Order: sequence, then C-alpha cells, then structure tokens
Amino acid sequence: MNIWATFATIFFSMILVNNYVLVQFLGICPFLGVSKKLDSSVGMGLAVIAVMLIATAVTFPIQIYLMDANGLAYMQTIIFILIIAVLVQLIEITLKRYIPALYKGLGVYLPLITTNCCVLGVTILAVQDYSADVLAYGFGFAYAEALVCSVGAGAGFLAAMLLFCGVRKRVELSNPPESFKGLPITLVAAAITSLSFMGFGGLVENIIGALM
Amino acid sequence: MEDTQKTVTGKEGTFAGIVKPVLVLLLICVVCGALLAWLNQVTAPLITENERLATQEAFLAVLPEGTDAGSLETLTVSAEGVVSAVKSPDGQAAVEASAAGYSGKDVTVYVAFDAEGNISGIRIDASTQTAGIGSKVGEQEYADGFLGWNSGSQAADGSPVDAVSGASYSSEAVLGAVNAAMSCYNDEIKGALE
Amino acid sequence: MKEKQSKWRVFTNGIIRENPVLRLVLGCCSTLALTTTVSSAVGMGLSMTFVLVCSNIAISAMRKVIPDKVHLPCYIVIIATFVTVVEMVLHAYMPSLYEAMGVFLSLIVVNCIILGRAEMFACKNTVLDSTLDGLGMGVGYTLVLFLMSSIREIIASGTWLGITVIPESVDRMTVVGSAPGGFFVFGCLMALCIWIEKKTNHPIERKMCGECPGCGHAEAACEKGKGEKEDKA
Repeated sequence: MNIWATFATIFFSMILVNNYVLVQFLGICPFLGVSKKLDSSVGMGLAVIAVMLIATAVTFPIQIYLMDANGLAYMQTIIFILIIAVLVQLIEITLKRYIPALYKGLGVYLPLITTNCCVLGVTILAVQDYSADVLAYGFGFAYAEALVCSVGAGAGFLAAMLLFCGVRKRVELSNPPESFKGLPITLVAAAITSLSFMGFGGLVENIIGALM
Repeated sequence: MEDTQKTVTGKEGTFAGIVKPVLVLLLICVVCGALLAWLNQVTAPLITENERLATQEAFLAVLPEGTDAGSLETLTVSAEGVVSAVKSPDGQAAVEASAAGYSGKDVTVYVAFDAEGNISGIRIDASTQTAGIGSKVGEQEYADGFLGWNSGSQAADGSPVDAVSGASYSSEAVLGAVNAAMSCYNDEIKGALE
Repeated sequence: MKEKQSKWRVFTNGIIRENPVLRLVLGCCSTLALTTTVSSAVGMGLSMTFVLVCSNIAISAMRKVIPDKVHLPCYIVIIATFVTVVEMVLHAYMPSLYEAMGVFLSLIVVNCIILGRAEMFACKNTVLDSTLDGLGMGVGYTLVLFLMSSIREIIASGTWLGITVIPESVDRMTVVGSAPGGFFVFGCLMALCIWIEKKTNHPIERKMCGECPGCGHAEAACEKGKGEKEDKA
C-alpha cells in the first residue's frame, strides 16, 4: 500500500471518522468549557495539537525501547502521565523564556492540558494501535504512523472546537425550555454536531482510495 | 523523573526548598513502583493464561465441533502476519493471522483448515475497524464466503468474496490475513501434519 | 450526635449536593463513553470509587509530609498507582470487563473528579473524612452512570444488564447507544436535574472546565482554595 495513502487515511480519519471529541469522547471537559469564544477555541486547539505531537513523539519510543524491551509495560499509565506532566511544564517554561508572544496566546491553556484526557488518550491509543507495526514494517514506519495519528487527533480536536464554537453562538441566541438553559442545551447541540460526524464513516478511505 | 523534580522545585536553595521535596517524591515513586512490580508478578501469569484461553477458545470456535481443547498442539510458525497456529491430532489445523486494515489498525482472522487444506471454518475480528462500515467484514455471513477455499489456490485466483462496499481497506485486510494464513499453512503446517 | 451528622453529611455530599457528574460536571468523558451498557458503567463506577477512596486516603494521610512544591507530581504518582492496580486486577480476574472499558480505564488517572477531590478535599481534611468523601463521590458517580447506562441500554439494544426487556419485534433506536445519543441523554438528564432543583428551590450555577477549580488549574486552585474552601467539612 502506498505510504502516503496510509498516512493520509490515518490523518483524515482521525479528524472526521474517529474524531476524539465527538465520536470517541476524549477531552470533553475542555471542549465544553473553552469552546465559548472563537479565539480561545483556536488557542486551546493549537496547544493541544502541539502537546499531543510532542507527547507521542516522546512516549512511543520510550514504550518500544524502554518499557516493552524490559517487561515494564504495566507501568504505562504512570510513566506516560508523568512524561506528559513534565513535558507540559517544560513547554511552558521554554515558551515563557524564548517566545513570550506565543506564550501570551497559548500559555493559559497549557496547565489545562496536563489533565486533559485526550493527550494521555492519544499516547496510549497510538501505542495500542501501532506498536504491532514495529515488528511488521520497522520502527520508522510505525513511529511515523503514530505521529500522523497524534497530529490528526489534535487537528480533529481543533476542528470540533471551531465547529462547535459556531454552533454555540447560535444556541446562545435561541430560547430553549427553562430547564434546558445553559449546559443541557449545549450537550444536546453537541449531540447534533456529533450526529453530523457519523456521516463521515467510510468516506475517507473511499476518497483516498479513489485518489491514489 | 529527574525533570519533574527540577521543574517543580524552582529556585530556592534551602534544604526544605530542594532536598526534601525531591526525597519525598522519590520515596513515593519507589514505594509505588515496588507495589506495582509485586502486583505485576502476581497478576502477569493470570493474564497470560487468560490470553491463552481466549486464543484457544477462538481456535475451538473455527475448528469442527467436538475438537478437544487438550488435544490441540501449538505449532511454532514464523510466516509474516501469522500470530499463532495449532493442529489437532486428526489433521485439522487452525491459524491466527492479522493484517493492517483501515487507518493501519489490525484485522485478525482465525482460519481452520481441514486435512485437504480447504478452509473449513473462519472467524473475523474486525472490532478495530470503523463501527458500522469496516466492522461489517466481521459479520459471519461475510466470513462464510471464504469456506471451502483451497489453500492451494492463493491470491492469484482472486478472492472468492466481494469486498464490502465502502470498506475496501477492511476487506483487503481480511483477504491479506487469510492469504497469510494460507501461505503459512502451505509452507509450514502442511509438512508438520504428516 | 452532631459529630455523627456531620460525617453523614460529608458522605452524602457527593451523592446529592455535589454530585460530581450532574452538578459539578466533572469527568464527563467516561460518563459519556462507558454508559452504552450497564455492566461497563457499573464496572467503571466501582473502579472509579476504588481509586477515589484509595487516593483520598493516601493523600490525606500524607498531607503533612508532601511538600507544597511537588504536591501535584506526588498526587499524580499516587493516583496513577491505584489506577494501575485496578487495571492489573481487572485484566487478571475480569478480562471481559477490562476489554469493555478499554482506554478509559487508564484514563481514570486524568479524571478531574479524582484530582479535583485530592486538591479540594483530601489535601486539607482528616483520613476518615476523606474516605467518606471519596466513598460518597464514588457512589454519586456510580449512580449517575448506572441511571444513564440503563436508559441507553434499554432504548438502544432493548436489554438491561444483558437481559432482554423489550421484545425483539420492537425496533431498536441504536443511535442512543452511539456517540450522539450519549450527548443527548446526558443533556436530558442534566435538564431533569435542573428541573428538580428548580422545583425544590436549590438552583446552583454549573461551572465548566476552564472555570472549575479542581481540574486543570489544580495547582493554582489549591493555593487559592486553601483559604476559601475550609468551610467545606
């Protein structure tokens, strides 16, 4: 199979078919909390993409070469969450010192990300889905797959935030029943947004299959 | 681990500022690590046993009814894409094989061959594929299309089953895995059966 | 007598007054993802309760030993250890439940309820109170999951705990069991909760993540919260 077709399929299906927020229920809290304003949605989304990519880039080799090789796979949860916590701190410090402009934009979202389940989720799922490919196709290919998957997941998060931000603006202007005001109607709106994502199933592989 | 301490400890240079937090964190990590290592030693054999039983159950599901679990003999196989294989004393064999399907996630098949090398039973695990689309290749109706296919015919003759519409990657993965199982049967198992 | 009452209050706090799911709106991910079947929801609820109680006990027992500067990594290590314990035990003794809960079992570690309770309660209360608090929160969480999964399983697949309750001849509304249905049922349950609050005159303002003190801003929240939230117990 064409390598680029594989990567493209992984990337787009992470956004449309397996969207972390709307289909797999990862990272719901920030999705509901931060999607009120457009600029904060974009900021949070970009920060999540960056942290997801870096976290997967670090955890995947650690899992393969350190943990699996030494029979420490059972320490996965504890090691991954510590790595993510450390990474987020490091990114925050680095940004603060060297790129203060970017820190102003994204910095406030970084502490939120440590306990964001979509970041831990993507590192664990990438290992689950692609570590078998290390044996079959070599480490390089599996690593690339995992990285593409993490960027796709982040992009899917951003896309969901942006779409939902637009939906929410409309919802706020509407006049739902008294009990539904606030969070409940937001959740119902999320249900409808999620419903629209159900339509993408099977779309991505067929389009990419036709193009390649 | 060291990084955690550095970043959190900050700048103060007193004993209470640096050494104590580091020691406490280290101690907690050591205690937790030891606890988990011990528990892992207790549970690891159980987990391996569970997995062995699950695989055995999957093999028994495709092998003819009445095959005795105790009589199955595990074969060492090295063919690409093949996970494990067993044979029964009466010349039946079953192979577990997998191939990458939609967005790189594996589809696993369990294929049983009768003494003539025809596919006599097959189960497809497509739970990793998109629900409602790719997962359709996991339906028994689809799998049954492969029944009776002879291991001698291979991919050159084309698949006996049409791809599920909308799920070409998943269908290809099933075909790939079945082919892997067949080449494994031809190259490694046939000899061992006689 | 008064002492006893306040302990009871700590316990029931998590079930009604500060129900983690419907009133504090914490830990939505697992609530939505694992309520497709009653069995996985109850499994998740019990695992969560176990981790919550154990981490609350451990953290409140060590609250005087853990230095402020490293409290977050310490909490994370402690919580992750208990999560791994649950993972291993389930994997060994209940493999089917382990499979059903998938990645969400590991994700208990980042569930805002647990870190939130550690930061807001366990780090400044006695071991007994923290145990009761963890137990109450866990029971509150489990009850909501149980309710929601019952609704979803009955409507989506016509079964309850695997037992068929709606005759096969009636068409299933499978969408309730999929992702959109999860959001929808959660929204409706919360609306019901708000309706009851209105009827009983106990309205509260729901905060969402980003505003909530327990979750991401944990570090800042603990410092701030220490002064403000003392009256909790």
